[in-house]
Amino acid sequence: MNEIDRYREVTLLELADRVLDTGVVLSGDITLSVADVDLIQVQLHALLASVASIERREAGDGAAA
Amino acid sequence: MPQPDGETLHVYAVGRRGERDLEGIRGIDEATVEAVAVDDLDAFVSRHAGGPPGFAPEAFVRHDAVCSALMDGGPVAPVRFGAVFSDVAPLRASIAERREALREALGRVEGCVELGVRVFRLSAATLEPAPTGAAYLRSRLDERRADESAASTVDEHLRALSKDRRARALTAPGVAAGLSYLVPRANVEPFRTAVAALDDARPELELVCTGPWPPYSFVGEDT
Repeated sequence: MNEIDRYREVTLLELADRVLDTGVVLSGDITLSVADVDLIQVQLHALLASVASIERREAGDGAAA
Repeated sequence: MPQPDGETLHVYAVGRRGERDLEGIRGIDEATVEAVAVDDLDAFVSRHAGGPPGFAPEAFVRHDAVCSALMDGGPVAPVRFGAVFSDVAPLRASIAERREALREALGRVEGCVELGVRVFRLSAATLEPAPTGAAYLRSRLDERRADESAASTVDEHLRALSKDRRARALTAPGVAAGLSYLVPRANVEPFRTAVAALDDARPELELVCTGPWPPYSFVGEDT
């Protein structure tokens, strides 16, 4: 994954995290199942973890920042 | 849960009632974005046939894009994704119920954007099996303390440029902290410069500044 793709993917995760986990909570007529949301959070965090370790590894290669 | 057959309303954000031009703004699935007036507030919504928008990256991105576009016309309180209303009346009731909190939130975020700062600690240890349970717990604690120290260092350098700050509960190896800052628009470039300078000055940390975002982290009930 090149740097731009990686940046976009982590930014997408940040976006999804904000949109799903913050903001004003309005009680709508329909409540989406908590299990659905939890599953997405787990998947998002797993992906973030894998991307974070890629960034860490590459940063540790000693290449110029 | 039964899916509704009829139209549902998806809510993006709440703002002060006003003359925003919504012409150029497209919601999820290219739906029109309209304003529903509730007292001195506007709720920004789109209508969807055959059930609410599903949880998908495209929908999240569009939800955020609508909030960003609305932000240009005045302070907005972004609404968490997932609020679905079968009709305008229950939406109005839901907004009216929390009108004071919404007004306060709008006052808090006026003129500001949210900037994110992700802090990576380059020396973060991968969790390997330790010789004893106690050793494992000690290393976890050391990592946690190092993370908190990194977050604290970063925060010391940035908080003066912001009105408020939140630590986000991101947990991932190497991610010491996910910080969100409420930054007045005039301070955005100085803030970014400060993050870059701190990144240069601290080789053991890697900092990434994201945003500007709508002020998601600063409009919830816990603020």
